[in-house]
Amino acid sequence: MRALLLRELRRQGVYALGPTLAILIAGRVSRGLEGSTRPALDVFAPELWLLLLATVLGVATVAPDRGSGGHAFLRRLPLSLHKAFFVRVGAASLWLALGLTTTLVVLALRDGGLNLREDHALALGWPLAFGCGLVASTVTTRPLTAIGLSLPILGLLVTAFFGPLIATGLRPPGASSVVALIAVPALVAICAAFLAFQRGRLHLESIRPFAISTVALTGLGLVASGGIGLARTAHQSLVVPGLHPAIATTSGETALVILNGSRWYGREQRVLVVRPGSAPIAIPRYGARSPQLSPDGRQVLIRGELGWSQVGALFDVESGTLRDLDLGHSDAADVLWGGESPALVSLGTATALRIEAAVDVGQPRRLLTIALSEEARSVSVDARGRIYLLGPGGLRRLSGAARLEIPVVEPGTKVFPVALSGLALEEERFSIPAALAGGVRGLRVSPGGELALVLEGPARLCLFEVETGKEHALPALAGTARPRFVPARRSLLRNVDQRVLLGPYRVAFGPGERGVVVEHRLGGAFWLDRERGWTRAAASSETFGGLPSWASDGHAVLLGSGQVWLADEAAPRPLNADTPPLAWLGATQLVANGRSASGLEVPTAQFLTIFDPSTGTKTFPFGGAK
Amino acid sequence: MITLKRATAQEACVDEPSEQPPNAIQAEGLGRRFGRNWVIRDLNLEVPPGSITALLGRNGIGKSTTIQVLLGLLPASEGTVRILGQDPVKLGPKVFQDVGYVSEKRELLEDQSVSGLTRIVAEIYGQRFDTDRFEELRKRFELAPKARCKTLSKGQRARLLLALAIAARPKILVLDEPTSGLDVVVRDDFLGGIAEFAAEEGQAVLLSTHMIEDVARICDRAVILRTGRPALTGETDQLRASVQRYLVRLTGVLPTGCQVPLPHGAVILERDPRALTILSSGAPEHLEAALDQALPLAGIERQPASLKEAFTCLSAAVPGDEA
Repeated sequence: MRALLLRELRRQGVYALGPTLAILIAGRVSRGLEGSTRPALDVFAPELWLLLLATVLGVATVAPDRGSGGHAFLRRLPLSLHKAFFVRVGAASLWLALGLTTTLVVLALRDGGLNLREDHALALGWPLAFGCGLVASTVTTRPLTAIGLSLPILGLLVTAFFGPLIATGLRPPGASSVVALIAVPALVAICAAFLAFQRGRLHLESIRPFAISTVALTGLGLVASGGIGLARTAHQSLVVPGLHPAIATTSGETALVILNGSRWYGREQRVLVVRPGSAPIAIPRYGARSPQLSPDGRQVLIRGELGWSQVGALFDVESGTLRDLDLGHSDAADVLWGGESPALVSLGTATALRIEAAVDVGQPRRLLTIALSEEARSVSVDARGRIYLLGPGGLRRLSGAARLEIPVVEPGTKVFPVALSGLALEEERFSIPAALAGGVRGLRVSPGGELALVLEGPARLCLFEVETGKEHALPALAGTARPRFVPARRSLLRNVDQRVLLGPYRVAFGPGERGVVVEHRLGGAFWLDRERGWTRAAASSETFGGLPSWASDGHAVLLGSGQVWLADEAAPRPLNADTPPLAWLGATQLVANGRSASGLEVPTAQFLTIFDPSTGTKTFPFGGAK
Repeated sequence: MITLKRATAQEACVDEPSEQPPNAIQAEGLGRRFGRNWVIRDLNLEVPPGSITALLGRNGIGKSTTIQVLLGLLPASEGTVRILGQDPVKLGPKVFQDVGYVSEKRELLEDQSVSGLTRIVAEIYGQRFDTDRFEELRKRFELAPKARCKTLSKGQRARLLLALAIAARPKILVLDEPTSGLDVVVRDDFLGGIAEFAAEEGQAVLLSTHMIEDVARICDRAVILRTGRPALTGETDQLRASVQRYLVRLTGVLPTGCQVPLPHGAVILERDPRALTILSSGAPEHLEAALDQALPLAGIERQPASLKEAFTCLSAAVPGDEA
């Protein structure tokens, strides 16, 4: 088979060369764009070209050779069809491996390193793209037609398999699950192509395996979604034991701990509310993407993970009641607290501000769209409900939004923007350095509205005093790799907790507007105490898992890697802890997992331990969950 | 008189003595349809070892489909096929260990050179591939080893395919319209190669063609596919002898458009106002009786028909012909 394999490599190389070069060029271009304004198009994403390479190779595996008679020639030799198929797919796999390696190298060069935990998203698309190209190549002999055909085939497969999941309101439980889920239609596509190839003709019969596979896939999707749905429903009202605490966030004296656990039907995720002196409360709701505490620490807004639509819930910490909410269509949005229920603030377009009230499920939507006279690139809300807009024209602050009456949207009607001048809002303007004009990609304002963090370009972080425009120049991150720039992910702020993520950085503002701690995703952190200036922590080799947080009196900082630094000391405090702490609880206590070897057993309690960071010793165990 | 053998299913079912080698190719009651349209039906065919059998028929009659069904490239809708005693569908690609096939379209690996293509084919056949024989044929057929397949002419492609097929030392060679589009010199070369191959012991050739000259030159047997009627099989000499040419002279003028009553198995080859040339595979007295009743006959002259004329007569679409 050596001669045949070499022939396939040479033949397919003609098709693989272009997209592989495009990966290199895209990587080079996107690297050059770093620090400049956000590109208008995502064509510079090497991952995109990898997908194209996979599609083209899928098509090139059979179609062109079939069109030129090569396939017919080989069929008249004593060569089994499956062997011929595997030689073709083997050659394509070698080219794909080269393309994948090129992509990884390009990304590593561009980003200064690879984070495979997040970059495994790369593994998502290309097998499916290859499978669809392969199916298309068994249907037509024309490469261009086959490339065009692979798109509807992709749509059909994705719809067939994910349609039932979407229809039943189930979200894939995690990125790795998505990889596994996509592997199914990819495998189906490749198998269907194999069967069609074995038939060896271009009659409609060759599409029959694909049609049967698609129907089977739909059935599989239905069964899978039904099973997952049943399993989740069965566990909906239970607190599932064996969950591990993951990320925690703190607001004042209250901490939210996200608990994770893997189940056969997906990832279990719960939110635990922890306050000093009282037992932790597990919010009785499955799924907990982006839990957010209200500024007064009395309410928790959870959203996502409840389905594909923006359905959320509001948990009242004092009464322990849970209220289902419809969050409308504002997924990546800041929360405006203050009214009866929270509202979500986002930019609809560059000149339209959307304020959508969370309403009870089944109630009509309430949405206010405000027409902006100037372009805005990013929006942020402080704890006092003031809205900050940053754009080429500067920084503006709108006060009084929490008092606005948000109108009900009649079903089927269009919402027209309301002019800013017609609303009872106070508008203030602040000067910001001209260098930021046009390159703004993200804005976070401190709870008191005194400090503003601005992500400029893909990776440069700037800190300003809002009132004066004074810039606190951020120190360089020693030992930190070049920040990652992912043009394909348009919403940089959309992640675990939108308040504390800013591009590749995770940030936490200190209490009383005292300062800010900034930690880079790939390691390295620094914090500003407005009285003392900047402090830089050595880059940590620990896995970046949690979020940074401040002690409520501002005397110490907890980094996401689990290190605790007193604000006036240049070395981290050693902790006598079984596991890295997750969050501050007040001024002197830290929340940590009390058991390192096994997961938490929520109903049996004894899962949280409080540490005194000044001495680094364990003081007393915490009580059990409700 | 008709001496052709019309193969029937009953005949085909008769067991042959066990010591006789099986036919190289044998088909019984073979049929293939696409949708509701039967392209071939009830075909009985045999290609004995050591023979060169022509598969004849008009354009679109299903010669290529027949070959593909015989080789297992297309599944039969009904009937059975045996290649050297085995079912080609079950054999799959292994059938091509013993069968060399040159298709009508003469497909090659266009991206390869002659030598590159030979390497691939030799690797697939392994020890069986006779490189020396191929080289000998390549030189004889004037094929440059470095020539790219996509630059080869029709004739060169046919010769290359024949050389590759023969070098693989098959027991059966199946050729689908191998000489169409070839000039006289190339055709002679090509037919010479086939004849040499067939001269070797026990090797059979099935040749689909519409060139009767080729059949007359090298084939010893023929199968004629006919629309709506069972195929005819027999030796080429018998085939030729089964048809007679009749020159019919008239005493008067035959009016234009006048219908001439002909018995089954007869067709008019030429028509003049005072004479007709008729081909017939039936008995002469039947033809004479039929003409005598309808036309003013001056005389009938009987002549031997050529193979081409015999093919014309036998393959003519006459409904209900029982010749």
